[in-house]
Amino acid sequence: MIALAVAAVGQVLPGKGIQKGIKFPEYDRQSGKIRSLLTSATALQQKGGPIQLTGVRLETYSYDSGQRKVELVVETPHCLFDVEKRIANSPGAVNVYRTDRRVSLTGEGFLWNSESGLLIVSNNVRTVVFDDDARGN
Amino acid sequence: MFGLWCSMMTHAGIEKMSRFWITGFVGLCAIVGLLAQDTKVITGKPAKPAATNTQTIIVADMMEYQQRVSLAIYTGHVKVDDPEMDILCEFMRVQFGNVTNRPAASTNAVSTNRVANGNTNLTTNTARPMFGVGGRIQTIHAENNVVIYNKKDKTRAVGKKAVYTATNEQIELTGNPILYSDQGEVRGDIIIFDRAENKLFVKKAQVEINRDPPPKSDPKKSPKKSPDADKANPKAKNGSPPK
Repeated sequence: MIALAVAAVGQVLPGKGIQKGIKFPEYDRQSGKIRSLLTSATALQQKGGPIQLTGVRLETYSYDSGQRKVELVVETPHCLFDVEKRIANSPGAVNVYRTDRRVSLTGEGFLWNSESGLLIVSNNVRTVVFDDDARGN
Repeated sequence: MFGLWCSMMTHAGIEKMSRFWITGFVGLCAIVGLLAQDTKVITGKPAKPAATNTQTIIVADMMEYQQRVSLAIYTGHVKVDDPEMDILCEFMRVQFGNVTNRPAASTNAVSTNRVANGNTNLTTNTARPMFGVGGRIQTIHAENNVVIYNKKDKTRAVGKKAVYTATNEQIELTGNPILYSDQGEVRGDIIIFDRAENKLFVKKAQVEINRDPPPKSDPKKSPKKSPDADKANPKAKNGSPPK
């Protein structure tokens, strides 16, 4: 776990400018399985502060009979990520959806705590829940 | 249904209700329709498929989702726009469950309902799960200035708190709950709507019936009524039954 976290931090070094294709995985401490994965198109380490990310995509995972499946997807054009606290946040637009497209959500401003699995969308939240039967499920 | 209804009421409620039953069962049937979901009456002819939207929209100022416990909390100007109903409140907590654990109550069930004309009709209850998410929702707690508006029969219910439980498909409204319809109002300590059985239960019920408009009198014998006279007393509440 620590090694993985260090590896993630190691990908974004201060003073190295903008780096591309950064991944921040979060693992379950007991099972060792991946719980979430934060990826970004670009990353910029700010001095003594969080990492500035653009083109951000967060996936959370659940396991069904050992089979991993994507549960939630969170997308935002940009956000800040605190590696130590494992918290991402942004005042900008956010788009959240389930991969089966049963539920999608949009809003402005969010906070994601990858350790606790807490997602807060702080303004103008709009959730659309699609009917199962209409989708043939 | 009548027995259950009466057993839950006080003497005052029974007194009022007896008048209510005498004056007409039709009004109650309309009120009972609150939150009714796609109940089809088998009459020999195939039922027309209802034209329904396929999505539910929830808007709010803020949303918190606790993934580990599958709990969503909406706060501030919460509005649920469902094909069958609108729900307004200030706080709403939605507890999700396992996708595969679809509640038994939401599957097709057959029950008998006695209708106003005395005939017994078989009804198949096809109540779709709340918000149509395949039974994923276990409970919904709506609090603070709760308003539930039924788009189908235009009835409206208000209260301080509403709780929907998927396992029994019941919506329980508390905190001075009132049910409004064109026919009148129902007040009580608790108003419970059973979506699976399409029944309404009210504890300590007080029913107020809107009196039918008075018959038109002969314009030659009586003085002409001013238009404002109707506005002054548009509805008479809790009146005696029409003779």
